[in-house]
Amino acid sequence: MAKPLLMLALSPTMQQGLIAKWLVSEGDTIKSGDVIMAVETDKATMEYESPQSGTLLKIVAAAGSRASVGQLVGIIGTAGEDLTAVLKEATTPAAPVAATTSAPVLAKAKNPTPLKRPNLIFSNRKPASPLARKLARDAGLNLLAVQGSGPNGRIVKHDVEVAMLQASGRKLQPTLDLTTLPKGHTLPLSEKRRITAERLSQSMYTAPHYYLTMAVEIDNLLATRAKLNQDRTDKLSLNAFILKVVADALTEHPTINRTWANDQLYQFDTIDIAFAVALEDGLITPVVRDAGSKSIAQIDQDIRTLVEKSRNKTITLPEFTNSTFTISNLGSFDIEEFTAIINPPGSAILAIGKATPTPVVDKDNQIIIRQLLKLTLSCDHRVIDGAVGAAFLKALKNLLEYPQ
Amino acid sequence: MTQHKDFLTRLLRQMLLIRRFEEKSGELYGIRKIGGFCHLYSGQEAVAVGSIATLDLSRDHVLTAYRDHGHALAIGMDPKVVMAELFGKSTGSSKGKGGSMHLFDPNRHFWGGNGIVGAHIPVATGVAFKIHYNEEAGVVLCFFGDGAIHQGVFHESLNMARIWNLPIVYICENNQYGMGTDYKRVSAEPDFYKLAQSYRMHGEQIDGMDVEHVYDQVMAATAMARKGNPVLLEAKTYRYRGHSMSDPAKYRTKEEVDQFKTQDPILHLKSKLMNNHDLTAEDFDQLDQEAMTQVENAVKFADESAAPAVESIFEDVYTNNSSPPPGES
Amino acid sequence: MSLLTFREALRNALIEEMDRDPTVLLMGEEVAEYQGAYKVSQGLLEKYGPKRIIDTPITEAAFTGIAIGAAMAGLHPIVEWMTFNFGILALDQVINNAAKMRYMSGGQTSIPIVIRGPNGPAEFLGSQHSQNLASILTHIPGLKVICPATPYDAKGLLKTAIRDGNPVMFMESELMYQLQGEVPDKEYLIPFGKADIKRAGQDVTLLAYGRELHTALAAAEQLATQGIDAEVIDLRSLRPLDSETIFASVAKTNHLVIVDESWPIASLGSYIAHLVAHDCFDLLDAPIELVQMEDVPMPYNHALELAVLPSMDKIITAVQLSLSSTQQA
Repeated sequence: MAKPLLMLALSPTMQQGLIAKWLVSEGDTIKSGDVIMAVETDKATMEYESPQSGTLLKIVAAAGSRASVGQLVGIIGTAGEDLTAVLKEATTPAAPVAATTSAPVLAKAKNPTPLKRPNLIFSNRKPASPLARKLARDAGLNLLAVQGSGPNGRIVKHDVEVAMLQASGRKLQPTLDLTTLPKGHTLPLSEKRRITAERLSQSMYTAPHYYLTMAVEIDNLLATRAKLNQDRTDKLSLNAFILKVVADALTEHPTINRTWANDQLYQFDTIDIAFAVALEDGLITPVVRDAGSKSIAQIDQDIRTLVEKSRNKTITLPEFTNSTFTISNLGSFDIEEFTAIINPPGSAILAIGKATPTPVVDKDNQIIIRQLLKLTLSCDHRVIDGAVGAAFLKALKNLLEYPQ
Repeated sequence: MTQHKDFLTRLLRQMLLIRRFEEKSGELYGIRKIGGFCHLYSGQEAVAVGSIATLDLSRDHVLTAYRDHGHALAIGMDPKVVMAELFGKSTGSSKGKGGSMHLFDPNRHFWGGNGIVGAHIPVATGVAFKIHYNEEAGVVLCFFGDGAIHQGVFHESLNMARIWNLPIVYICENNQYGMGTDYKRVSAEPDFYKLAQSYRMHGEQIDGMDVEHVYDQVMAATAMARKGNPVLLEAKTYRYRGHSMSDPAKYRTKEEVDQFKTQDPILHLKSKLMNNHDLTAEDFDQLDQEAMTQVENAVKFADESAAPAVESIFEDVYTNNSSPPPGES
Repeated sequence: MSLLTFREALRNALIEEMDRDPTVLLMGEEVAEYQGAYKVSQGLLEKYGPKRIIDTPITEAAFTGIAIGAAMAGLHPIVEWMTFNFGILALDQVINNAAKMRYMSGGQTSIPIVIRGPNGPAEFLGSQHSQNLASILTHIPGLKVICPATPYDAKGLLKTAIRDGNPVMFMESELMYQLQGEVPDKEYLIPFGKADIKRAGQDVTLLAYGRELHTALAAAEQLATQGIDAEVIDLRSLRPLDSETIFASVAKTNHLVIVDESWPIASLGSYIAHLVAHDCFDLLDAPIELVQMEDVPMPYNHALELAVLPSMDKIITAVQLSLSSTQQA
């Protein structure tokens, strides 16, 4: 039976050989192991030993031609045999012969001694990488407030960096070298001051702020207040009136009473309005709960109680956190207008200046004097678009100018 | 006489199968179907075939080194599973985990195939120890090359085989070169069979190119060994190919190779059968053709066999068996 | 319960298993007529005769190989290396044959052999006789590695080792043979791959095995006087390794000190440190501490010897370091 004579790898790296010379001719009888060709490889001229015995029936690759490893170079068999089958087979290219194959991928490692991994249960601590812990420690960041994105909710470097970005732009800069500062000394830091710094930095650097300012005539409001207070020993404060009006405006515009939470909009069910109170050791923002359903008198009473508690430090955490809207009034300091930083989780804060008698042109083109109040609304653009904020402010103006 | 002819024809068939198998292995190595180290047995066929023909493999045992294709085939392993193992296929005797140097067939008492020169000599001695311990009738043939004979474990093993009277025949296949080193250059005593004397053991040099002679000598040696007298045989033989496939064998002359080829064990037996037993040239060609067909079938089988599953890498590291099985104590 | 020495516990295990299974035998230097270099096999020659209690010549490589061959062919040999230091001569047989034969044969063979003897430093013995080779052997897939530390564990684990179908390296300590402990009179087995909590604690996990277990326990008692409640885990089985028990303890204490009588580089201790660092990453409150041999050969002078070894002081310092790094954080 006729058999193909193939080019063989004569060195470990040989891919192709140049047939320098055939040492036998067609018709010669050859024995297995006989040297029948001289082949130039990438390294040297090598002797090609026949792997088979028989008669060389045909030389397919002549001297001077190149043959790849595995390619047909001749045919061996018995004289007179039909060669067509061998030749035909050889025209179909030989399967590529790979010296190396790429490593197959284990679908699922089936280790004979599987390791039992511990259940991770964290009661009093959050998992954090050592690097994350160090970064947080250096930055004065409380890890409990950081959201972990790693396996098992592990806080990793990236999470701390995000939290730092949120907490303070300043903190992204290298820690300040105190010796380079003008002479002075560090002061004890109150918890209120620290939280205020942290939360408002976070707000400023995560909530994209924009500001809307509007002047409001409050002569009618002042008149209404005076009228209501006529018969009262405990006079209703202007702040109570403003807070009530803001609550009514928020009832009309619930789109303001929302927040941005975990990349989603979150609608608050009740209107909880905080108002800023400046204390000696820092700012505090007590909250009037469910202001939308309370009367002015109730609101006024709430404000009195909360301010009292704030001053004598009996106020509790739930009483000054989690507001849905905030009012800050610096009118008593003769500030005409200012912009405030949103107090999370609310999405807007109303900054109120001093009511100032101002000449204005009325609808009959007469110059008259009116008590004008400058209102500035800071909005989180993720929640409140410009027109929405403006509409709210317009509604607020209406309610203030024409109180019921 | 007919019986003798049948017997010799059987040996001829086996030698032809090995020769054709090795030629094909070399060729397939050349086109990179077979990789790694591949040590061919061409030229040495008479040693494995003549020796193993003396055995009763229901009780006798065989161990050899890395040039093991010939022994595997002589023991009766299916050329298909041997070729599939060379191809690294799942149908190979070791499921593609052993390769050329690690052919095993424990059912036929063939305990490998070992890739470390001389490392199997104590292991073979241990199999003989088991026969002795259990007071069985078997014998062990331990094959190794001239390169292994200077390893410490060879001498340590012969010493213990003698002091414990183990049923083992050590067969040194002296093919003249330990890799590229002429055995005479590195041997204080180049007549290896004489080393047996150091261990008060029978030693003999035999013609490893004459299969019938090998058979007779090994038969005599096993008879001694079965009685607790271990034997060292030195079979003078020759390999036609390099040490392994990457060895161009530049350390010996073409004339030397040609000279040994004139003593070719297959041609030797062929002429003996033709001269004394009416074997015709056609008969021989027929036998040769059968061997080639067997090899072709083996290649086809190996080629078409599936690669082992990747997950199988974790299998066969440990056995879960214990004695008695867990829970029984 | 009886109060037995470590060596008596081992001997009782040998006796029970040799009584149970006639294929179990003991082989090694001086095990029979000399009654054992460390007297573990004392009296066994008289009880079982020279057929089963076998003195060998000083040929670690070959008698280990012989035992491997005998195991492959069906016996259950126990090899005693007079010390593991001498067993280095036989590492080819252990690593290339015992550990790999099953894999290379595609699961067709198994090597049910136990290789046992003293391992690790004793005193005044110099470098060649004072080294713990547990890490080197634990490195090898295909072997099982056992290091008992109490008479109770020694007996139960040796019995399991003898029944196991795989090669088991059973590493004792010369300095523990006299150690006494309670051993049940009734037969019992201890499974491989189960660590034992020798002392429960809350503050820090001390992981140890073999002789150093006792150093770790002493350190734990000392630490208790400082108000530190250490948990001491005895690995017992190095391969297979009981990671589950280690992880559970680290989950409880968040602090890990590994006491490993190995040189530090590429050691079992460093591997366990990796496992814990990886799988208990979020449970660690401090870097893992390793208390190992100093990275030098063992000197002869006793003061220097003690300086090289793990010690109670080194363990206590490591524990304090582990606990203090938390407070800083």
